[in-house]
Amino acid sequence: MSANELWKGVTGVSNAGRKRGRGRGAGVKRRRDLNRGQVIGVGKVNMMWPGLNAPVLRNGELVRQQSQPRDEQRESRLQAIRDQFTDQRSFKLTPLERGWSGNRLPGRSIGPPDAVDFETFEGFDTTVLELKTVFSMTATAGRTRHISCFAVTGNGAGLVGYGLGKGNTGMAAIKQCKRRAGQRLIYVERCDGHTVFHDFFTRFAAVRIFVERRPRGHGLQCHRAIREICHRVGISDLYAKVEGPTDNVQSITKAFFLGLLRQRTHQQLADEKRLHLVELRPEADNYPRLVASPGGAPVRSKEQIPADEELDFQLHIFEGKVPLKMPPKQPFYMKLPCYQTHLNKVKHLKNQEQVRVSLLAEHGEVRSFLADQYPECRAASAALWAEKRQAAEDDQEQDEM
Amino acid sequence: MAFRRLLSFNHVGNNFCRKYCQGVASRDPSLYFFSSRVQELLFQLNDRQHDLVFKPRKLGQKLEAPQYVFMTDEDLDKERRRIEQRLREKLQVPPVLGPRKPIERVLAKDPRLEGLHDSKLLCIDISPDLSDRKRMITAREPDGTLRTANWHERGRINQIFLPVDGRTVTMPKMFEEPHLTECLDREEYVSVLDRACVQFEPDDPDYIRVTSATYDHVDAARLYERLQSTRHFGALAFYLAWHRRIDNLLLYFIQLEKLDQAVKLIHLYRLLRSAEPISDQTPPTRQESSQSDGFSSSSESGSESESSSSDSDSDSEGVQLDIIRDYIENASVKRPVLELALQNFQHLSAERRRVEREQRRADGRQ
Repeated sequence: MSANELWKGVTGVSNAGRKRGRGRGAGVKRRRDLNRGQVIGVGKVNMMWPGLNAPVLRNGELVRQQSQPRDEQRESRLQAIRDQFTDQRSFKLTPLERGWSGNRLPGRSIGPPDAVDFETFEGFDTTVLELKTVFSMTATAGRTRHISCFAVTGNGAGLVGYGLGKGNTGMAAIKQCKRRAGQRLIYVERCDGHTVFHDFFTRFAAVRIFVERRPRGHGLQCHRAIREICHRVGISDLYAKVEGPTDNVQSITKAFFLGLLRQRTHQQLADEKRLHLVELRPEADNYPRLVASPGGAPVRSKEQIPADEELDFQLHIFEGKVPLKMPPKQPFYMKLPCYQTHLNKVKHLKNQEQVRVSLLAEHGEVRSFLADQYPECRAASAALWAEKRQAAEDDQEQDEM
Repeated sequence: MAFRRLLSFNHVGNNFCRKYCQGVASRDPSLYFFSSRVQELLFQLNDRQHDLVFKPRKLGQKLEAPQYVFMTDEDLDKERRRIEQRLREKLQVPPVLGPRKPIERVLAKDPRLEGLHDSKLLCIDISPDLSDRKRMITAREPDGTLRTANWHERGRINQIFLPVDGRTVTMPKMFEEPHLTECLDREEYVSVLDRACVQFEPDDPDYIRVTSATYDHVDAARLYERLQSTRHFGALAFYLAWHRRIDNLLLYFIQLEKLDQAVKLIHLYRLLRSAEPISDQTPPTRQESSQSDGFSSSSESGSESESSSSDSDSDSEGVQLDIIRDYIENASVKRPVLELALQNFQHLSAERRRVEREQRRADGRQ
């Protein structure tokens, strides 16, 4: 029997079984080429066969068949070679390359979209947001399987686009979605290059997102899909709360994109209101910084503003609605009377850490006013550290001299 | 030993009270400092750049997103006026007082109480409506003497029972040598001065020592811009004018072509040199009034460039140059350096005027 027939017998899976995905994954027997590592003429018995693994004539003399000593390591060497090809190597990713989970593609970068004509997509990067197997019933073949890939691409400077691709193989799906993402780019305005202009609410299908502006350095406190989109856009500080189906990445993306597009820049707000827009920062003593003045039409005066007009910035942005903010949930025990007892018991410890730090800063050890009188009350390490400090000071004096 | 060091501090602090009295026959700077003319000069000498005075400060607070407000022109003007008021508050110069005099006074002697306690007892009246400087604080010595507490004891006890935020009971190590010099060498002038304002009272000899050391360091390094747009610049100018060492600062102003600042500094120097303390009732001298007619103080920035080519401005520039030249000839220590700087300025300003004239001629022809 040939090697193929033997191996098929050992590893074979029926056609029906193959459709169900049997014969894949870890732990399944894989065929190995047993010829690797072997040389013709060399086997368990180590012999010199002239014409096969030795020359027929050597120095004019006929070479005779000779047995040679056994090669003890041959078995283990062959086994090592065979093991090399058997293990399904799981490759390791560095933390920067890693996606959301394991070695899977969602959350991982797949590079910029492929260049088309003159557009080289310089500075662009694409992140896969979803990679899944989808089935559909067809009249002819019944249940057909495709791979679906959803990704977002962007240059970190406001240009961003998303795309969905489907194919028989993963590679095909990824290629299609990357191409489509690059074809459908939009430009998103950012405030000060790091965040959105104002808080907003947005929805798509059943997904609702409340987005809030955050100061520089806050970071992206949001759903991982929104985080990836923000990385691609170039937003570095944001808060977003997703309500509804948080696993529907495509709806979340579409909702977020809608919200970003519907943002109004400071200049637009000043123009539509015909009033100055002034920024007040508490850390700058609420200095009134004029960020935008109305462009075409003159600024309205107080008399020209109707009494019922909404002048509050937050209410104007949300068009009269207010996002419901629930107070943070307190742990159950804080209402109980025994909690007050506990607080009274530990209140003398409240400042302990600070007191220890200031004692160490001032005296070099944690001590009380009685430490001189009762040396046994001093910390055991105090004397040791005092010695070390003294030695360091002496060394310094010697260096200076 | 650390604890013994604390006890000896009082007598070390008193040795520095001579700093403000050196060579000027123990004049009290507070008699000059609080006059409205001197205060106005100290305010005008400051750059007053809004983005530096209202710089965002990282004070360990949780940052929030900025607030936005829609405003009409009237609202904006009202805000601007509020900011001018706030600017005055933020740039209020920390008071300059002479070092405080001892206030210990024996109230009673009870030798029969000796041996009752082995340590000094301090009593403080903690009524909240009293001023910390006026409230009654007494000390009972182990030998039975009842006396009023000295300044050092007063500071400590006040801080224990009625704490001021940011102040420590004992003096921070950064105000002792060699740490103070190390901080100044790292050019941390504003943080040293800000902390000194929190920690000490203005008449504390340690406050005078720390601030004098800082101003001396700034003057030696010529890093006046570090204190510009802060409340400490006025205090620095007062210190230098009081001790008659305004030459370096004058040179700084001339080199930056800020002639009106230079003139104000000389004016301050003259005011502080007068033998009688200035009261607000004394009428201004002819020189002062001519200066106030010549250049009005601007509200936005105190340093307008003098390079305008119109006749009235060049006349006022002439007046300014006369005042500066008069000081250099009669009262300055670094006469050659200042004269050279003034010459360079005049040369530059003449060149600028010539270029502008030619530009205008060329534009006219076109």
